[in-house]
Amino acid sequence: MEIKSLSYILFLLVTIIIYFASCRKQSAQRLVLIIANVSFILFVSDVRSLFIIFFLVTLAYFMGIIIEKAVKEKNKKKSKVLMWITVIFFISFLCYFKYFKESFEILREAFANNGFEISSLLTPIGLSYYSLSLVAYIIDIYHKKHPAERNYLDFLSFVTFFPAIVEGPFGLYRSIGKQFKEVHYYDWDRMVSGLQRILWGYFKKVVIADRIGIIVLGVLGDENAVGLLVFWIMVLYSFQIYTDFSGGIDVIMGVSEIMGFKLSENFNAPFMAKSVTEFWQRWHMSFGEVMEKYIYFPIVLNKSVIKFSKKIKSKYFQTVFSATIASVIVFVLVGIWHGTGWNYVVYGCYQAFFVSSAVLLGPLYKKAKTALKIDDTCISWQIFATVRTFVILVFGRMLTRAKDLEQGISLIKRTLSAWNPHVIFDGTVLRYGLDYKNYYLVICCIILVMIVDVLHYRGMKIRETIMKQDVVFRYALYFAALFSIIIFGIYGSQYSAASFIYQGF
Amino acid sequence: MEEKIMEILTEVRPDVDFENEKSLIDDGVIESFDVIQIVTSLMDEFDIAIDADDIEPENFNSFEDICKLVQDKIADN
Repeated sequence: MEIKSLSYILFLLVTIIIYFASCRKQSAQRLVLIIANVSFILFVSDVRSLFIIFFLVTLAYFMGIIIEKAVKEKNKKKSKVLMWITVIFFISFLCYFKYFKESFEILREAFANNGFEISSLLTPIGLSYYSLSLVAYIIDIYHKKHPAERNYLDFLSFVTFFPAIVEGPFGLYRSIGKQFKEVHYYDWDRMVSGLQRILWGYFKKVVIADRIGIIVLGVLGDENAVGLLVFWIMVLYSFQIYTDFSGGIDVIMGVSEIMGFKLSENFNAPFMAKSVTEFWQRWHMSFGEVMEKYIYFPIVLNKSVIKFSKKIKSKYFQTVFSATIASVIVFVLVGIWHGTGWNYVVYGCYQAFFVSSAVLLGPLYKKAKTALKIDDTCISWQIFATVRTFVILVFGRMLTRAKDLEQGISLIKRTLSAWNPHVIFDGTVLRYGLDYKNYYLVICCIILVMIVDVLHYRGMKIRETIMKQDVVFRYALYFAALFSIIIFGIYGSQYSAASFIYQGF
Repeated sequence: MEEKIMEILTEVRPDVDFENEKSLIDDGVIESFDVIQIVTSLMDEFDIAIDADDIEPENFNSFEDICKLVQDKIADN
């Protein structure tokens, strides 16, 4: 059941109706939510996924209580050992399913050749997301950030929350756990606001992302496509992955909002970023928060790292040293969280290079700007910085779009091998699956997405503004969005469109 | 102590109004690297240990929050 299939929409309708019908008692509403979560997992995966999630939730639930007890008894050694054993277990569990699938397949084939049949290894649905949430839950209990959850059903409904289980956003128990203990009543304004966001999410996914996907596949599949044609397609691919991922998140946030939940935001106009560092503060923010809290800061403030950095004379470079080490580790982990190939490791190092060099050479940049009398608040510099950041990110995307490092490097080589700006304007791009109407529809939609992002960036609350308009304008806009999705949406077989890219992670 | 803390803060970010700004982290006024510079300077200056789990918005959102964190850490020593 894809997130934008008719069956998902029907599932949502039925769930939301029963969910609000049961709002008299928290326990009844929670039960409805758990049944919806379990049904969703069974629809998108199978009973093995359900078994795994129940097992991990139960383990985290009991370990949370045991660790909390040890912390309260001030038994530092015991609580620390238990915390690490649990965290390592969860991480190993995730790594096993995420990274050893290929080796398992090789083993399976070898067994099959000898007459032993083993069923293929399952990809547990949402494991990449909820296992990290559980790790954060255990670490937070150890650090006394919140008490261990005593109500198993509340905890279960939080971890298995169906809108967010497949592609996030990451939910930290300390931030959103409380909401799963409350009764959520039906609210018209929230319903309208949530529906607005769902419509915008589907629009981004089916009208923009899936349309761009056609031309991206066409150009990248053509070995003769070189130079600016490849670069331009990678620009479009960057918008594809953004509209695909943020579109999915908009749907998830909209559904959650209707049901009365406020999850962590995942995007804040990422393409407005003026540096790679700023981009990562605006892109996949819920993941960024997890990485910063649980990996970046602990490394930077690790006693051994600090002790080692003290060997450096300059105070500034002492800090830069530990921050650089932490950045490299974080970005390599971000890379391999997305995939197992070397291309993902290099992608992580590529991002770490820009983030670290900005810190390392920060004072030098400042001096150079002063010497050259560059005012970095002026609009021309800001546009330059935004475009520069975007170009860096486009080259980075070549590594993750490729199936391996070799293909990624070849993509970069193909881009740099020719200077042919005419291909963008002479109709060459129209030979790859999109006619001029569809192609210009993509361009117009990208401009629309950027306008919306600029308005968000400037602090405008677009949905609230729309809700303040008169009824004719509002409904004209809603129906325009709805019919655009129906008429201009790209649909695959049986009206189930291509999967969301980030579901794969 | 407060004067010294203010000195450290303005040394790291001379462009920020630490006296009046009350949402340094929540509004993204200071970034991760600023926090690290502030924390390492505070640890050196006051000979205290600040751990990763102390890096929370409520400890760094304002000058007063930072002073309170330092006071608590000195008391812990």
